[in-house]
Amino acid sequence: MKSYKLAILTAAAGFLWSLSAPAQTFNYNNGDLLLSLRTPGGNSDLIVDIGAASLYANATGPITISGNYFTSSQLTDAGLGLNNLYFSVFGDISPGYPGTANTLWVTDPQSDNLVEATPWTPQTSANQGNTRAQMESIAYGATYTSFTEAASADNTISAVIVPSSLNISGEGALSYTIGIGPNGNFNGNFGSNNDIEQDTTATFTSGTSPVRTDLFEMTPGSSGTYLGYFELDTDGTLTFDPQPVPEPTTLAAFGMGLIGLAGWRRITRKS
Amino acid sequence: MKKILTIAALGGLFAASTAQADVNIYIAGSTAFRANVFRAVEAAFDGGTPTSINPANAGTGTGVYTAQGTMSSLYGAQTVTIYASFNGSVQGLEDLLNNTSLTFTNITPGGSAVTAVPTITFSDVDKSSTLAASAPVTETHVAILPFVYCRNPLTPTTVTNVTGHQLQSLWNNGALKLSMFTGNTNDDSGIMYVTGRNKDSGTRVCGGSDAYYTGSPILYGFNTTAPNTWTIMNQNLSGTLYGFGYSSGGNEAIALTNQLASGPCIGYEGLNDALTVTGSACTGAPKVNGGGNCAIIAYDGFLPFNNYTPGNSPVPAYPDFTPIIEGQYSFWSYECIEMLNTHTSDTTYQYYTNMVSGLDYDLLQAEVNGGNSSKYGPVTALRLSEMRCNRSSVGGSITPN
Repeated sequence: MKSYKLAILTAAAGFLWSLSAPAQTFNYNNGDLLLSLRTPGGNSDLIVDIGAASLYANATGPITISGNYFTSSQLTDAGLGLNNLYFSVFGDISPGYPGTANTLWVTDPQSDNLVEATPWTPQTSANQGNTRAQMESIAYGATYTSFTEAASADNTISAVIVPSSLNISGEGALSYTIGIGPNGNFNGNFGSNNDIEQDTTATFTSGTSPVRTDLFEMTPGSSGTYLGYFELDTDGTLTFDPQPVPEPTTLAAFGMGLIGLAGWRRITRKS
Repeated sequence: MKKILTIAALGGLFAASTAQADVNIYIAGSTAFRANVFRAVEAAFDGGTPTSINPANAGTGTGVYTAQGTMSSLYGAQTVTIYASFNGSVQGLEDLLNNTSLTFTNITPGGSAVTAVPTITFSDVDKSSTLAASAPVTETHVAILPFVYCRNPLTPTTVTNVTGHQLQSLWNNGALKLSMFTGNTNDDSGIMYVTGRNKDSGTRVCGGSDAYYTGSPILYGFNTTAPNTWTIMNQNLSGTLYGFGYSSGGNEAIALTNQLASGPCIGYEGLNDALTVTGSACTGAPKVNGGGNCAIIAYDGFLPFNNYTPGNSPVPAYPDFTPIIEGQYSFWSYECIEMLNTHTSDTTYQYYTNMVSGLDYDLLQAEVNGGNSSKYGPVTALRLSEMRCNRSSVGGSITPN
């Protein structure tokens, strides 16, 4: 009987400990993409780990982000709404990890929903390293915030609310708001005119038009490979649509068309 | 039966009060300031020396030790045991914040390790500039702690300075072409690596703040399993949150003095560990120069003390810190002693207040003796009263007094 009581007490103590003990819930790994959301002047940012970049580079169909990686409640609890919302997606490969060091994944906002954004200008590995360091600081800020708080609906494996003022001198700018800077270019490290953030208007939810932002993979020295685009709808649905991959039958039809075109040109030349 | 119980209870109380008579102080935190703390710990004991210390050869460079004796003026005839385990400034504050137990050495050689939450920690930087900003501690500035950048044996002698802007890019990438630091285009194919501490380090916090660095640095370490190479440090040495990098200035100094290293490298150090790299002129406890081109180099154009030419002479045992005192050299911070707020009138509080004055006295004696004694030298920190400038925060602006 005594041991039974002891077991209950131990279990209860363990439960209480689990409620109060800090735990690193947010699980960021180098090479993951971070969806970061903020509102200028807001008190909190929402940082969402949307999985490895390879998931998006190799995607063959749409990927739904909202609801799967973060909840609308997290957005609300962070003090964020769909109007006046600034967001970007980024990731990196740090030296020492598999892949080409200082490879970056960054969004490039579309000015309208029909035209693909112009790829970013190629940068050297060292220059991309400067941006990489800023990205990793934001990831660390999310990890640190998650560690210092108990796991909750707002502190999950894939999303955590981070104070927008989280900035520890010597540790770098650990919040998204400070790290991305007022111009959305990692405080100029990504290039003075390279704003990677998409934003919504003050009346976004009253309309019907979504906003889109393209995702580019930038190995050092390259202008970037287009991987697809993220689309935020007015109802809050966020999805990723990959670069369409031609299906074999489409390729075959295209090839037949080319052959036909070549044949037609030969005929017209002869005549 | 009642009598027996009463006697037993009284006996228990007596035993408990006897046990409480012993005073145990547990110290953690800064590795950069450990030499000064060691001397102050010794000086606090009656006669200026503990009755016993483990390890017996513990000295100013020892990171973990336990000293025992009496401190009549504070605790009468009670036995006082000082447990010290220096684990880094930020980590020490985190330990106080989270009530984390550390492992200390038993005063008896070979005895079981002692586990306890630290009662006092030292931090090279104000708690407000660390990840443990909310630690419930009383914080007192006790000294000025200079930091320096050092070059390793393989770094060309033409590298005599590093700027904050160079460091920003160097930390972001871990390595840059050597010509950036030598000014010689022939060094375009050469590589300059950078090493450093993990996030538990106050030296790292101060270095980053002073160079206006915001980012997550890449640091290289000497790879002992593949000799002759500098390798990116991507293994956590002390927990996920503390990230990559050396866990003590002493370990970083060992890397910076390694003669087998495959190429040039620079890193930051507290002055005590920097003397391992560069050597000092202290006659009492001569330091062996790291060899090759090892030297302290200037930062943003200034050295922390006068009468020193990188690579040409050892660091004076009592350096002339005028560049720090007058505000020319900025890579320094206020050394802080930290105590949990819960200690207000107990034995820890007495020791805390005693330690504050003891550390200043230690520095005074070091200066009086010109650093030329095994007990007091070399001088690796400055007294607060010497400064003719101040700063409001770590890495913040420097203002004349």
